[in-house]
Amino acid sequence: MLASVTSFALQGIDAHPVIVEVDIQSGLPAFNIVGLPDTAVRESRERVRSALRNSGFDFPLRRITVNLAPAYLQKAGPSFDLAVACGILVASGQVDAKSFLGHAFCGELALDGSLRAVRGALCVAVGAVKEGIEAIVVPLASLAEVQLLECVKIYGLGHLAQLPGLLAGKLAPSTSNGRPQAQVRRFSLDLSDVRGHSHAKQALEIAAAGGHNLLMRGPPGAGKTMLSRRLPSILPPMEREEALDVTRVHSVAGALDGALPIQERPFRAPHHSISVAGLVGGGQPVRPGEISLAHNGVLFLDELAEFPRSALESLRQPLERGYVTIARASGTLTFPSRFTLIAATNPCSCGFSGDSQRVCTCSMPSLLKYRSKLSGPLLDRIDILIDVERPTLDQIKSLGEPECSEVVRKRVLEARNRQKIRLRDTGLTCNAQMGIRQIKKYCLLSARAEEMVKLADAKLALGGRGYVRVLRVARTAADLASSERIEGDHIALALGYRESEHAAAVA
Amino acid sequence: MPQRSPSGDKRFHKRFQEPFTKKKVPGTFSQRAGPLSCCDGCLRRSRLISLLAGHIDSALGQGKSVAALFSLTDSELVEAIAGSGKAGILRKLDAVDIEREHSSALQSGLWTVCQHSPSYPARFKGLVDRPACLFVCGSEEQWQALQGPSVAIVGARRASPYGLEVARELARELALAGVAIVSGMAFGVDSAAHQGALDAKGVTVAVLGCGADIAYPVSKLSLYRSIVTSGLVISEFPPGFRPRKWTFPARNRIMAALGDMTVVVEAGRRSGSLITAGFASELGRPVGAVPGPITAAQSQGTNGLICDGARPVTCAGDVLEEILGVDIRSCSNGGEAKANAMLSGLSTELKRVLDAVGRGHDTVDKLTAVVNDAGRALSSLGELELLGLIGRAFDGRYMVRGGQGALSSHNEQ
Repeated sequence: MLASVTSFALQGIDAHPVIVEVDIQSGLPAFNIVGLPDTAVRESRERVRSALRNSGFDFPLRRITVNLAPAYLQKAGPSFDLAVACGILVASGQVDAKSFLGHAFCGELALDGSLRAVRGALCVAVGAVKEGIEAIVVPLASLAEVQLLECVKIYGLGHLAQLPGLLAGKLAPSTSNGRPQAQVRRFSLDLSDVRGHSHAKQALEIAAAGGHNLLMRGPPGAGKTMLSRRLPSILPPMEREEALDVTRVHSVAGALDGALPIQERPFRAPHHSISVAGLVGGGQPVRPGEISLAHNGVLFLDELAEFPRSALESLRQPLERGYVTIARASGTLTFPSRFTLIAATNPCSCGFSGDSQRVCTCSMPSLLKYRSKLSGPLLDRIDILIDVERPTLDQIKSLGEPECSEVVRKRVLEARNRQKIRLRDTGLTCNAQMGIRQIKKYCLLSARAEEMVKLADAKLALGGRGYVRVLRVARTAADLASSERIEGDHIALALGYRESEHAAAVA
Repeated sequence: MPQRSPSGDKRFHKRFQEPFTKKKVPGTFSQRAGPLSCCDGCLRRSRLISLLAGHIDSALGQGKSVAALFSLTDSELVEAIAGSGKAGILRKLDAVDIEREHSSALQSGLWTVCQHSPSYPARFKGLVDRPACLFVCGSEEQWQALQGPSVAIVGARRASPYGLEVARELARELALAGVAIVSGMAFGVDSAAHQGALDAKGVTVAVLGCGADIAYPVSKLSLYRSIVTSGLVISEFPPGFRPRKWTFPARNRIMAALGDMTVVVEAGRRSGSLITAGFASELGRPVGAVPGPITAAQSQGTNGLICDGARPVTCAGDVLEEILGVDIRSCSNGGEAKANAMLSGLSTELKRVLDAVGRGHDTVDKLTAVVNDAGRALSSLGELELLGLIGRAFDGRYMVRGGQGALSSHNEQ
């Protein structure tokens, strides 16, 4: 007898439909799975056999052939267990075939017949919706993430024995959570914890408002890490689409814990000893890297100069395009990775170049070599560069009460809304994503601002990329000031965030 | 890879086809001498120095001074520092092929001048540690420029925009007045001084701590080429000789001796340029120093020199007065008027920020105390930077600049 069940295979964060065909013929007892299965899929045989027996079903002692179509696609992971078990049940006549139509199955089987959570359940659900499948059956443990989707019937199965009941219609589909209420976001780290550092706080606000990449340079103890960790508290909340994408990536990575959907923008801070594969994605089987886990959030690289050159070079493409492509012999996978980069670095290897209290002990060649670790192309993609110094007691005392994150976040949110409205036809979400075309169209300059840009081009050797960076940041500064036109002050501000020419070479 | 000067250049080849003159002076001269010439003894000595390079390294490590070592004769030198390698060194010295030395110099496009030659710079005569043999890259006319007034301009490698600007301007104005500018082609003040002299189409002399055919540092190759074209590159080391730590103090003494005055533009407390100033004062030559803010670490050396009696240099006129003995005021008052005009056109806020930067509030955080808003502070700084009134140093700190390159002295403040 032949049976056919629908399941899905993960490719990146997308799900490709897979037809699980089960054929039972007479002959010596055998159980084979074909269709480019990987080791986990091949081991399914043992799990399915035990699970079926322990759930009270019969395991047919005949020649069983399972084909996972299409046969050119690599099948990985234990998520096909449930589909294979269902296929066997149908093919051996223990369950009625008609009730299976229009259902997709996905889940890992334990030896006693219960279902285990599977990675990427949400991605499977999204894929199912795209294919027009009306009902999805997932393990109970993966139910929470799938419930985020609307317009599809979701069944959470706890044990294989519940299957006939489900198909007979006795089990009610779970309601999708659709739109969970906005929770009050409570952050343990607040911007008001930081005293002084008005320059850095201003830069953080602009980075948060426009999604700009930011590099902080300063001696150890200046407060760079402290400031960066408070960035999430002033970031605007995610849109529903963005939250869904983030949840999908985390689901594929198996990093889902805590409340769903993920409402906080991810804040990833990998240590500088991370491998290139860990940062960008890869390995066998291919898993998303830190940059994909930071999608729609912040990637914080502390001690940027300590990261291996190869790791930093591998960031260039994702920073430019917003996705990363990982090539394998079996095909290429694409993971999304549109993140805001916040980096902190020392000015030199001793750390004290430019410090007002301690003397830098580096020789000139060592200083130049340290500076050159951050390559031109990487710096090119960083819109804001600031020098952070250790605040003196006077500076801390002279300023009034620092603003709390709540107040700053309101301004950031307003600025983001202006950007959303302005960029709604382009598919971009924030100023940092603007290219030269959008700048020409959306950046209206006052006369004084035009003059300043011309002067800057002549005197400061901005170049094409420099011009784009300055205008992006100026546009965000204007948004924060609720001004539709970019004024001279905004251009002057943006100019202050570029790398100083003298830093490149002395004389 | 050592950078060789353009030996394929037609200009150099033409010179070597000129008729040679045999001079009747002590020492034997080889046939292949150029218009400037070097006797075999001195050429051998320069080869000896390169053979002893490693030994000199350790000798200086034990505290002997560069000047002391270079005042010894060949045999004394070998005795003093060769130690166990003496026999090997003496053997290699005997094996030195003078013809080969001459031809290697020629092939690298260099000339040689030794202390016995009439073209030897007069300033070196009588000095006990004078270089025996100089390798020169450049034309004869430019060599004649050394007959006229010259100034050695030295300073920190990690100079601030102030130091670089002053060095360049000072060199430019002095070169316009016909003074040859001597410096070391290092990062920072040295290169700025060379550039200033080149801007004024004057003569500049680079004294190197490596073979005269090598551009060191490598990133200064284009500057090296410009200097070779219109000035001179000099070294006491044979062609192809790589720089070592001791070659820099060694060349510093030559720089100090080549200049009628040594001016230190910007130096920290432990800068190497202070050693050059020391050599100059030992030679009895005047030493000048450009003052800087007393709060600046990078001006502590120069300010210290002034306290110790060096002549404060605030404009080219100060230098010209010292070396020519004439009260020539070459300061451009036009630039001063221009700077004043620009300052009067500024808004009150910009003036306040400029003033604060001048008083030492050199970072945005410090200025926020003055302006009360980081955004306003940064915008003002950006605008002032565009106007050329302030600049950013290597470490990101802001400093006041002289406006459109006006080295104005005696400003009424």
